[in-house]
Amino acid sequence: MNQTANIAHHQGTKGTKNCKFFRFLNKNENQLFWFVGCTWCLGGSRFGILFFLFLSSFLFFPGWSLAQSAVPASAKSTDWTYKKYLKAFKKSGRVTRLTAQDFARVQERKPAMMKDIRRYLWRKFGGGDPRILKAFQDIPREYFHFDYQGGCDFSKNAYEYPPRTWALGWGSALSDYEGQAYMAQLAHPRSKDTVLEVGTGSGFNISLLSRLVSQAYSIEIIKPLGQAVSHIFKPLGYTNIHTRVGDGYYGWKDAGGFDIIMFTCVAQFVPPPLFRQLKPGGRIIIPIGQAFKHNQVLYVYRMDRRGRVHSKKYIPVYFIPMKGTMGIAAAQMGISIPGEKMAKPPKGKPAPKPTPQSTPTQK
Amino acid sequence: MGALFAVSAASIGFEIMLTRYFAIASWSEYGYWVISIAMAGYSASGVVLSLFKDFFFRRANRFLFFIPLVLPPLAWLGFYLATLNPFNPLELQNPDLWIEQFQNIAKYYAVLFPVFFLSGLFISLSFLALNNEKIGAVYAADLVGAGFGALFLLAAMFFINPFHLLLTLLPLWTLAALAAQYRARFTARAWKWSLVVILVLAMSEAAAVNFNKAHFCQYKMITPALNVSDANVARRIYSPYGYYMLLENFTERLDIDLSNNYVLLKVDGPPSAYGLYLDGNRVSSFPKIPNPDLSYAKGSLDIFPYILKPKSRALLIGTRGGFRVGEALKYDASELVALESDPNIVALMRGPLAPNEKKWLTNPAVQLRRQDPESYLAGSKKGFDIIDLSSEFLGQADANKYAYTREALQAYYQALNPGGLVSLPVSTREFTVYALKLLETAKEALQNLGIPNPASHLVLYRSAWNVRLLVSKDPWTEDQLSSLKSFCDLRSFDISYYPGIIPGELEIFNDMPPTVWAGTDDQVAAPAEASDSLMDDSIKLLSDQGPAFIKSHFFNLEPSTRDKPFFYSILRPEKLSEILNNISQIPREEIGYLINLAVLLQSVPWALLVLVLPLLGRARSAVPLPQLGKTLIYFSCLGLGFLFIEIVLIEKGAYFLGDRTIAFSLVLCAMLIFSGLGSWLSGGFLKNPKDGLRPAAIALLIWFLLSLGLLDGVLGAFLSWPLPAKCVFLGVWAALASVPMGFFFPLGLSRLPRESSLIPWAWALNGAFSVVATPLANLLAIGEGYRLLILVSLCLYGLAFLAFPACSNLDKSERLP
Repeated sequence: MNQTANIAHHQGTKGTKNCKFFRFLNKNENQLFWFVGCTWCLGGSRFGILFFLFLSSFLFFPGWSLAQSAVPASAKSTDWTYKKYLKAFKKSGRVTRLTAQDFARVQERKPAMMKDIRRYLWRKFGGGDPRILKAFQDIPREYFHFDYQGGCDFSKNAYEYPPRTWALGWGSALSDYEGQAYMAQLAHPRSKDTVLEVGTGSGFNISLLSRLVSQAYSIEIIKPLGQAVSHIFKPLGYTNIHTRVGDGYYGWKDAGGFDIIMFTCVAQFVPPPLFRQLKPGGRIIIPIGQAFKHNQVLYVYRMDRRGRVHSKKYIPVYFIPMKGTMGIAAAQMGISIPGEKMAKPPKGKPAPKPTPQSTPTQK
Repeated sequence: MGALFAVSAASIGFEIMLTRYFAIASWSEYGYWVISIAMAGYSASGVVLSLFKDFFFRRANRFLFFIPLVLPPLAWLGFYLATLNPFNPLELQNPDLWIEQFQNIAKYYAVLFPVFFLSGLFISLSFLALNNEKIGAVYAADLVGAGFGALFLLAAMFFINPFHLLLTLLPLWTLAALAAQYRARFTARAWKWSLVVILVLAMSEAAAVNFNKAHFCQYKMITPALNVSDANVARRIYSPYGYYMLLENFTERLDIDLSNNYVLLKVDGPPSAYGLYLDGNRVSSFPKIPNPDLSYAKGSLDIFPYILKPKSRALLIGTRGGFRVGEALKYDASELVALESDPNIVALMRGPLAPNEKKWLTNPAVQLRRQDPESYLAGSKKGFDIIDLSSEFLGQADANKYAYTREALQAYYQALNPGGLVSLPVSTREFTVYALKLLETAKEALQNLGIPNPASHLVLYRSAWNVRLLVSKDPWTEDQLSSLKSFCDLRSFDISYYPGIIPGELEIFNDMPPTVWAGTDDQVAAPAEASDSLMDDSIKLLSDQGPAFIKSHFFNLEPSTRDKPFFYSILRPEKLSEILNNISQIPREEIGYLINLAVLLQSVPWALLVLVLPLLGRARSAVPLPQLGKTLIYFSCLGLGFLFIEIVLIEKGAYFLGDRTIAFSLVLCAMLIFSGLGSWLSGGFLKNPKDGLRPAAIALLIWFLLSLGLLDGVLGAFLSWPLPAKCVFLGVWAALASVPMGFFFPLGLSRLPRESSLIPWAWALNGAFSVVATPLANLLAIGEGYRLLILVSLCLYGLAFLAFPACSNLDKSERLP
C-alpha cells in the first residue's frame, strides 16, 4: 500500500484526486526525474545533497513518511492480502469479482474510513474507544460486502465515502460504518462480555463485537441469509462467533446469559425471554428506524435492582461526553488526528455542556 | 368510436394498475409519480400532434390501427422494465443516496411514458380525425370508456393478483385495434391483419405471464416474514382495498405495546398469532387458536381504562383482529361495540377465523360492526363509558385518519357517559411531535364544546414507544390519578401529563429527550439524566402560553379537522430548507408532502413547455393572439378545475362513506360517466355553443355554492344512513357536477378551427395542467383545506366560461357544421 498517499487521503475516495501528485511522485520514472531535478537545483552542494536525501526518504522509505506518524501504530494495516481475501471468500462458499487492482484501490481507502470513524466518534462521544477503532482496522469490511439474494459481491465499494447503507437482499442491509461504530461504542463492550445479536445480516456487526468480547452469538430469522452468512466467520479465524437461523424471540438459552443484546425490532414489544437472559448490569440495544436513513435512533434498556426496566433514547445528533476508562485509555494510546488534540472540542466550538435542550422553535 | 372507448378504458386501467403496483412495490404516496407520468404522456402526445398535425392527420386511419396494435407488447415491456427498476424509496431520505433514486424515478418515466404517450396520441388523433363528426359524442366515448375501464379494473381486482392485472387490460387494446382495422380499410387483407392482431395479443399475454418480476418492496415487513423457515400463506385476498396476505410463521405474534417488567408483573409475552399484511405492511394480528392466553394484557399500555372502569360499556374502534375484544372482556367490560372499517378484516373474523374468535364474537354482549366511528356514533343513542381506539387503526386505511380529527374527538366526548373516558393512541417511536398534535386536537375539541378548563380533563401516559391520551368526561380526580400512578409505576410507564403535574415529582423510566436538529458542525449535548420532553412541551401547550407555543413551534401542530384531515402533516412549507437538511429524521409518513412538492416543481416547467412548444409551430400563425390566449386559459382551467373537484369529492366521499376505496371508485366512475353524458348532450349545441355552455355554467355555479355552503352539514346530517344510501347520495352529488362539467371541453373544442393544430394543443394543455392539478390540489388541501379547492375550482370554471374561445375572426366555413 502506498503510505505516502495517506497524507492526502483525509476525505477517503473524495481525496483521491488530491493524491494524484503523490502518485505521480511515486512512479519510478518520476522518482528519477525528482532525483535529477533536485540534484540540479541544488547545484551539487553538500547541503543540497543531504537535503535531497532527506526528501527522498519519503519516497523510497515509506516507513519514515510524515503520513506514517499520523496513523497510530495500532491502526496500521494487518497482513490482509488479496490472496487471503480470495482464499477466505472461497472458503465461505461465495464468489467474488474483485480484481487485484480493485482490491488495492479498496485498501487505499481504508485509512480515510478510519479517520472518518475517529472524527465521528469524537463528535458524538468526545473520543473513540481505541478497542473499537482497532477492531474496525483489523476487520476486512470488504469481505462483508455481499448481496446474498443477488449472489454477487460489491466489495469494490467498501470504505466508501460518504458512508452508506448497502442492501444485502430480503430487506436486510449492511449499515453504514459510522452507525455501526456509534452503536458499538454505545454498547460499551468489555473483553469478558457475552453478546447476543438478533439479526445477523451481513455478519459485520457480530464480527466487530467478537473482536471486543469473549463470546458472540447471533441469530438470523431469514433462512437463506442466515444459512449463507454462517459460513463466513471461520475463514477469517473468528472462532468465538456462534450463529444459527431461527426465532430470535427466545434468545439463546444455552449461552448462560448475555451482557449485551442487540435486537433489530419492528414489533411494539421487546421479547420477555431476552430480559430473562440479560445478566445483571446488562443492556439491550435496539436500533429504530430504517437503516437507509442516517441517524437511526437507538434505545438502550437496563433493568434496575428492583426489576424495573428503564430505557434511554439516543439520537445520533447528540454529543455524548466520553467518560471513565475509555477516555483515559484513548489518551494513553495517544490517539490523535492531525490538526486535532485529545480532550479538546472540535475546531471553532466551545466545549458543550450537557444541558437539556428545548424543543426547536421558529427563528 | 368503439376503438376510442377501448383505448380510453385500457389507458385508465393501466394507470390504476400502476398505482396499485406502486402501493405494493413501494408505498402508496409514490403513486403520485404514476399519475404524473400518465398526464405527461398525454400532454406530450398533444404537443407532438400539434407540431406535426399534417403528418399524423394524413395517416390518421393507419395510426389509429397501429397504435392499439403495438400497445399490448409496449405495455408489457414498460411494466416489466418498471418491475426491474431497483428503486429504493427509503434512500430518498438520505441525501447521500437520493441522486441515484431520482435517476431510478427517471427510469420509470422512460419505460412507462411511451404507453401513455401513444394512448394520448390515439385519443387526440381521434378528436382530430373525428372532429368532423359529433365532437360531443367523441369526447363522451373517451370519458365513458375511461369510466368503464376504471370499473372493469376495480372488478378485476377482486379476482386477480395485482401483479397480474395487466393480463386483463391487453385485450382492450386488441379490441381497439380490431375496431380500428375496419376504419383503416384493410379490407383486402382484413383476415390477415386480424390474425396479426390476435397473434400480438397472444404473445403479449404470454410474455406478461412468463416475464413478470413484480414483487413486494423488500424493505416492507412482509419480506422477512415470507423468508423464514416455516413461512406459510394461510390466506390471500385480492381486493380493490389492497392485496391481503394472512401469514403464519414463528415470527408472527400479537403486536402490542407491553411493559418490559415481565418479572415484576409475572406475565409472559404476547401469544403467537396470524399476521395480516396489506400491500406488504402488517396491519393486524388474528388469533391462531381458540381461547388464546390473554394474561399478557396485564402489561399492556392500553389496558388502564378497563382497570379504572370495570363493568364498562365500551366502544372499540379497531379490534386488533379480535384480541381487543377478548382483552376488554377479560377486564370485565359489560358490553362491547367493536368497529372495524376494513370489510376484509371483518370478513376474516366472521369467516375462516371465526372458530378462533367464537368465544368473543358469539358473546351476546359483543356487537361487531363494519362501520367508521363517526357514522356509528351519529346513529347511536346509548352512551359509552370507554371509547378506545386501537393503535393499528390509523395505519389500516386512509379514511381512518378522520378518527383523529377535532370533530371526531368532539363526537367521542359527546358520546361518553358521565365519568367516561376516551383513550387515544399515538406512536412516538421515531417522532414525538404527533403526541403534541393529538393533545392540541383534544384541547381544541374540548374548548369547542365549551369546556372551561380542558387541561383538567386530559392525561398523557406512555411507554418508550407509544403514548396514550386519555380524555375524561369529568375532571380527573385524585383517586383516579393515584390509580394511574400505581399502574404506571408497576409497569415502568411514564406519565407525561396530568392535571397539577409537578415536573421531577415522578421517576422517569423511559427517556424522551427533545427532538434536535443539528447541522453537521453543531455539537448538541445529550441531556445527562433521563428527561421527558413530552412533559415539558405538554405543560407549555396546556398553559396560557399554549397558543404562542403552537404558533412558534417548528412543526405544524394545528389539529387535523374534517376539512384538513391529515394527521401526518406537521411540516411547515416555510421551513423547507431545514427539513430537507434533516430529511433523514422525517418519518416516512410525511414524505408524501415532499413528493407532491417535487412532482409539482417538475410539472410546472413541463406545463409551460407544453404551452409554448406548439406555439412555435404553425399553429400560431393561423390564429389571432387573443384567440390563442383564450384557448390557453380555457383548456388550462378545465384541466385544473376538473381534477380539483374530483379530488375534493373523493376525499369528502372517503369521510362520508368511511371508506376511501369505495369513494374513489364511485366518484371516479360517476364523474367520468356523467361528464361523458354531459359531453354527449353538448352535441346538441354545436351550432350555438354558448347556448349550451351558459346553462351548464349556471348549474355548475349553483352546485359550487351549495357545496361550499351546505355540503359539510349535509354529509354530517346523513352520516348515520346505511352505506348503500350514502353511495347513492354521493353518486348523485358527483353526477350533478359532472354533467355540466362535461359540456365545457367538447364545446370548447368545437370553437377551434376544424382539423387545426389547436385541437391537439388543447388536449395537451388539458393534460399538462392535469399533471399540475394533482400535486397542487394535495398541497392546497394540506395547507388550507378542501373548501379552498372548491372555491378555486369555482373560480377556474368561471374563468373558463369567460375565456370561452370565440370564432368571430374565422371564416364560418372553418367551423364545425
